[in-house]
Amino acid sequence: MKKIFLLIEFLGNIVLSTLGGLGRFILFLREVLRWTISPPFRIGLIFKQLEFVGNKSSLIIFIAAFFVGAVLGLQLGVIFRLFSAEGLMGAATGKSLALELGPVMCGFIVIGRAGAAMAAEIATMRVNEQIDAIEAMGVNPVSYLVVPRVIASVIMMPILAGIFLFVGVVGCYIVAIFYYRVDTMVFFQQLQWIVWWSDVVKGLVKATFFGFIFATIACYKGFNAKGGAKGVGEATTRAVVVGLLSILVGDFIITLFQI
Amino acid sequence: MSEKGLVSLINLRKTFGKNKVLRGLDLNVPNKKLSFIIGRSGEGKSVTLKHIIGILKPDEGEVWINGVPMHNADERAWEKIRQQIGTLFQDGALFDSLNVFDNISFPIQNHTKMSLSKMKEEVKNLLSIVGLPSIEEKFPPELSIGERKRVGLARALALKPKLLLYDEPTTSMDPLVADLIDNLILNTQQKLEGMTSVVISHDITSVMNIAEYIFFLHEGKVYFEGTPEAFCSSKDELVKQFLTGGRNGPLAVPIV
Repeated sequence: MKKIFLLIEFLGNIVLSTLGGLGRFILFLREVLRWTISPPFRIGLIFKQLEFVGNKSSLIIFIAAFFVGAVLGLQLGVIFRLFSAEGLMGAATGKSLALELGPVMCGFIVIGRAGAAMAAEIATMRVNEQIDAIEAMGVNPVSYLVVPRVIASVIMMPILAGIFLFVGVVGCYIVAIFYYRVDTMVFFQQLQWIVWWSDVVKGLVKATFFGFIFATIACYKGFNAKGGAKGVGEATTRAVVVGLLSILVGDFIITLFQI
Repeated sequence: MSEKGLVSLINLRKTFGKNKVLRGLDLNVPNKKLSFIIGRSGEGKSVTLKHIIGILKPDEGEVWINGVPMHNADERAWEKIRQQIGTLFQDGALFDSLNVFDNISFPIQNHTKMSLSKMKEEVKNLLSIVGLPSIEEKFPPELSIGERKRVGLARALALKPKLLLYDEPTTSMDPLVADLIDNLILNTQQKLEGMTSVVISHDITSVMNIAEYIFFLHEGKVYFEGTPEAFCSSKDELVKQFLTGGRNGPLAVPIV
């Protein structure tokens, strides 16, 4: 009997701490939204973050997109060749990149690069009392630190996903032309036939949501860091793990609404 | 100025989990003086300071700043009142990604519409007050601990506050740097007429060197308040033990 009570207590604690954490995150989200529409609007800081999230992620996005597109082309080509339908390679790659791989891979890459850096920077500021100092100077830390990062991520993610799609298709095109000897005209005709503009828009909408999700989670984890260097490390790891899982869950939910 | 003075804390209570840190603290900071809040580690000195700047909210009790009741105030009201308070954190809490100029001008940029040329002049003045000319372009990691504190103090003075708070300014410093910081606090107090300063400390040498008024915290309350002379001549066993250190007395000292 005692063991059952202990189990109930254990499960109750887990439920309580999960609900408590969710409640705190929702309050944080409310603060972020409130300061997004309230002055001061920190244009300079937003541009700085746009450069950090977008410009500094672009090279890795280019390289990753090219090879993802090329590998997809190589793998799909093996199957399509069985049906003498190699011309559909670009279409299949484009469709999967536009709807799923572009926004999701982009989200993963940007979390690993910019999301982790956001969480680590804000967590370091928290443990070194720099966030207390911002507050003590009468400046709202959510408005100063979080809002510019969230806005920049929301703007930059669809742009990066668009680049990912374009470069991925180029990677697939090169494989199709030089490895499978597909005709250029056929490649693009099939691409246009299968990949619709609505697919591209759906993918970009997903990317926008992913930008909001990962930036908010990264900033939240950094903001609530405790302890010294260990706390910074834990906050960064949690930001990346929770961000990655949230993107996957978010992807499923958004797809449910889109199909 | 209200009768309550610049800072009044009335029957302040604060608990973290099972730890009752403040247990009905009453504290009225004397205006235009350099006061010290002292006590052993964990007695709630920093918690008291965080209540004065509104980073922590009391479970019970009242916080009055400049005659305004702030215990139920919202964040907007606190942001306004904080502009009248300068705070120097333990290691300066400078922003690593900003240079000295941007660090010091941070509150000015956020709360005023001062032109860049005027701001440069202002930062220069502030740096001369803390005795650090021509280091505007340096970044915090390039500064020594003493320099970081000075820059932190210059930043705390940027909005010309009425109240200046120092959080353990000499903790973990060698005696020479600690003496330098003590002089800096004293000089700042003398240079800026009408300034009310509160220093959180457990450095008894600093207290005896520069304090004008002392609040000694024990068990979450003010146990003693008065001038340094009164503190030194107190016959109270607890005060005596804190002054002289050592194991003999009412203060329990853990065996290490």
